[in-house]
Amino acid sequence: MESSILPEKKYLSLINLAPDVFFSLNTNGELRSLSSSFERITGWKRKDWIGVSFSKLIYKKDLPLARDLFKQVLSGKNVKSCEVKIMSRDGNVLVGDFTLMPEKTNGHIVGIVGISRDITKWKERSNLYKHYANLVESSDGPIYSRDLNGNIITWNKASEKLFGYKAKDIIGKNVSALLPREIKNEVQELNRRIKNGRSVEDLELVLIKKNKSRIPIIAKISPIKDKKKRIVGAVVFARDNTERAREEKAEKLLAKATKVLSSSFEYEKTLKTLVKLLIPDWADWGAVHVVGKEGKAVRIAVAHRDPKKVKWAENLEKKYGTKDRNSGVAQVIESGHAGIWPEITEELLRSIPDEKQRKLAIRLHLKSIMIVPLVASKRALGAITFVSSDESRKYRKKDLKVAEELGRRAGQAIENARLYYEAEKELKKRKRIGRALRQSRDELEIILKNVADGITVQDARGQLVYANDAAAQVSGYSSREEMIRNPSKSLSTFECETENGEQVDFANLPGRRALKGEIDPQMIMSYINKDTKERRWAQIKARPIRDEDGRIKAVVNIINDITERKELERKKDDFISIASHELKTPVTSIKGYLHLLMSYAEKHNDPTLSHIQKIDNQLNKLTELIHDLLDLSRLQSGKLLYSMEEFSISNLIQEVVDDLQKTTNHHAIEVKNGVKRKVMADKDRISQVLINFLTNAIKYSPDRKHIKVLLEDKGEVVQVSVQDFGIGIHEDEKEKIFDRFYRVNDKSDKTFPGLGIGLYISREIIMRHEGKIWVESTKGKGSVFKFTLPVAHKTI
Amino acid sequence: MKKKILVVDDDEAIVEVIQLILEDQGYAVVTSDNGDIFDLLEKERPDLILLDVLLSGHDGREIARLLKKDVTKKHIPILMISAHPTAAATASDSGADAFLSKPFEIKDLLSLVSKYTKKNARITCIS
Repeated sequence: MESSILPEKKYLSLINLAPDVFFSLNTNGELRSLSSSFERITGWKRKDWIGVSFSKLIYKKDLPLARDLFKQVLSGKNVKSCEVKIMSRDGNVLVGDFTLMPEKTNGHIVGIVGISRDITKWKERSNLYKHYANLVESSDGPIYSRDLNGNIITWNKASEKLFGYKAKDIIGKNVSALLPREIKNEVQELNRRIKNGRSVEDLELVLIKKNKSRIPIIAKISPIKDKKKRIVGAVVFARDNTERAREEKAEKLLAKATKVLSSSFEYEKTLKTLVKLLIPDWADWGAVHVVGKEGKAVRIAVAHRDPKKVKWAENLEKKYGTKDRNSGVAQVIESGHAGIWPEITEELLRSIPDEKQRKLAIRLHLKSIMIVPLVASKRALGAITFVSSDESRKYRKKDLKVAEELGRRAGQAIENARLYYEAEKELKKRKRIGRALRQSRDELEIILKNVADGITVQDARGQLVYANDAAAQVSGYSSREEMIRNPSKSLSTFECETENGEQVDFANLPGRRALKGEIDPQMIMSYINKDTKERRWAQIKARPIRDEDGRIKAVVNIINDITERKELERKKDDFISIASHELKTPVTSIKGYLHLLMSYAEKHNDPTLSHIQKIDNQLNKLTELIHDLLDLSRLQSGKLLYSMEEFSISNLIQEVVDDLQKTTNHHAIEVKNGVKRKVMADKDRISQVLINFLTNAIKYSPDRKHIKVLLEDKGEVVQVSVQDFGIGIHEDEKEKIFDRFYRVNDKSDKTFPGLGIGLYISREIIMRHEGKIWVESTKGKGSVFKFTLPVAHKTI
Repeated sequence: MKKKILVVDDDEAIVEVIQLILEDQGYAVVTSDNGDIFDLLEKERPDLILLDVLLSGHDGREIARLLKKDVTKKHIPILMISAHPTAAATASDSGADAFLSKPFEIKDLLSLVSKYTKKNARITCIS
């Protein structure tokens, strides 16, 4: 058999090497021979199938087809490339591509010979392609392909929907129908890339629809290759990018607007620039209104797509304006809510009641309008009007949102500008005040600089914040800057003492005391340079500076260098001390001689005795004056010494009065004195005060005879009063009489002798005893001089 | 025997008037117008010294101090006299027995002189 089909053996081995299966059947359909590929492809053993009907191999569904083919071949026909499925040993369906022909012997058909190629894998792939094609066709994303010449090859349903072209209308046509002219160069570049086998992703394009309107898309373009990997075309996956483009357009507008709005605080200028941004992407013309000072909306900017029409649009305002309270702009500003008229139909225009406005509206070709408020702080400061006269641009809610955002940003910018101008105005005002302040401060500075007194300022915490040159100099600094830098340096330079020679308590300096609220504190202190031992004196006065609420915010210290004054005082004290000393010596000898004269006169009954006695009296007065002068000098220098002892004030009064009564014949001194209390005091000094009171009473009541002395127990203190009925003291003088060298002058020009220091010394003495001293008096009716002394507390 | 009193003062008038007054009262008086009184004291042996605080060339207080240190002389009472206001304190510091401020009352001078000469008499009596 084999020899009859394949007579040459060498072909037989070749057949067995071939990938296709060679086989033969008898007229009953039984397999007579099979090449070895049968085993490789199907997994069956050849020997099991020889003599078995072919139909056993055929996949059930294909059996009728297979039988039909078998009959046809037996009837003499050839069958070429017919697909029949067979079953493999492991149960898979294999697709065979069968080519069959009748086997003839001497003109008679004796069987069938055939070749079968396993096309299972190829078929599977082919099915997959079909599947993909379906997917592409039913995809929501527009997909189309084109050849290298740009002719469209495929066009899915989504493409039909997006671009408006039916597949049957566009396939075979050139893709240039979709491409706007302005992107010609980009398209050429694209084609180059495709031809080079590179794909392009996320390409943003604007294509033209069948209705000539434009559609933004995002495309991915991939090259198509044939079996030989040659580029034969490109497939375009497109995506409608309208929303994204709109968002981008909005973002672009808002970004630009923000830039414009923040570029300057001259908001009229910026709004003029802003409205130009609307053209042409957002509006065919636009306008900005701002509420003016009188509360009326004034249009401050207008822009038109056609520059020629800007003037015309500007004039519209004058003609028709927004004075009408029913106008859209006025309403939007009043309500603060945006208005949108997405589609303005001719009917709508015709329904405008006002003829002028109706005509205008028609002339403006209004198709769609948006008006948004310029909002700031929830207030509408104005409005932006978007007008579309393009049929294809109808404002929608999403557009309105963008416009509203623009309105908010512009409103904020106006508000910012206003705030800025207010701030600037305030700033200018402050600068003006600042200049004036600076000027006066400079002037003050010059004054302070040249003032001889040291002036320092401490803040509320006591920190030194200002010092003039004099203050620095007084405190031992080379400059006031140094003083402010290192205010404690002076403490190490100087030893400071009070007038009484005590250490200065720095927490108690007048500045500190003023901060604590003490009124007009002051202090005199000396400071001794530790190196040079030079002693200088300063008087420090502090005055508070209060803020509007009365709180102390700073303290001014005035430091007076009183060294020279102190030196003069010291010299004066020395002088008085020496002078009184020098006076005392001759007085002493005069007294002595007078004593001798008196005893002589007494012995010899000499009539000059009374003269001598008068000399003695006068000498005593002179002695008193000298004592007063000395006391004064000692008071001034703080050298008046006190020797305290406990004694009966009542007894003292009696002694003093008795002594004084002897010296006056004219006055009668009456003592009311029932108090038996003791005081701790300097007896001599207190008697000095009493003598002063009594001699004054005598002196200032020359025409009266009566003087009353009263001692009263006032609990913690005893009170001594000396009353006269003389000339009295004027109200104004009640305080002054305790001053140094003050003397009461009677209107009658009668003068009273004396240095005017007796009461001054008395006050110093009583104050040192922690008592009080004062006078009650009526002019012309006499005076009552009083002092108190604390009673002695017995210590155990 | 008359009590002897040494009056030391650089003011002639004072020395003279005190001398006159005391002599009038029956005292014997020796005088010095300066502080060099130690030789004089050896010679005269006074019962009381009236000593001015401020002497030209000498300090009365210093003299008083020296006298009070000297065993042979410290028994002599010293009545210090001064015009200086603070002298009272320094007088007692320097060991003076009494102090009299210028200008003084003659009666005060006499009572002090009398007091200290009697006192001294009593002491000498005992010794």
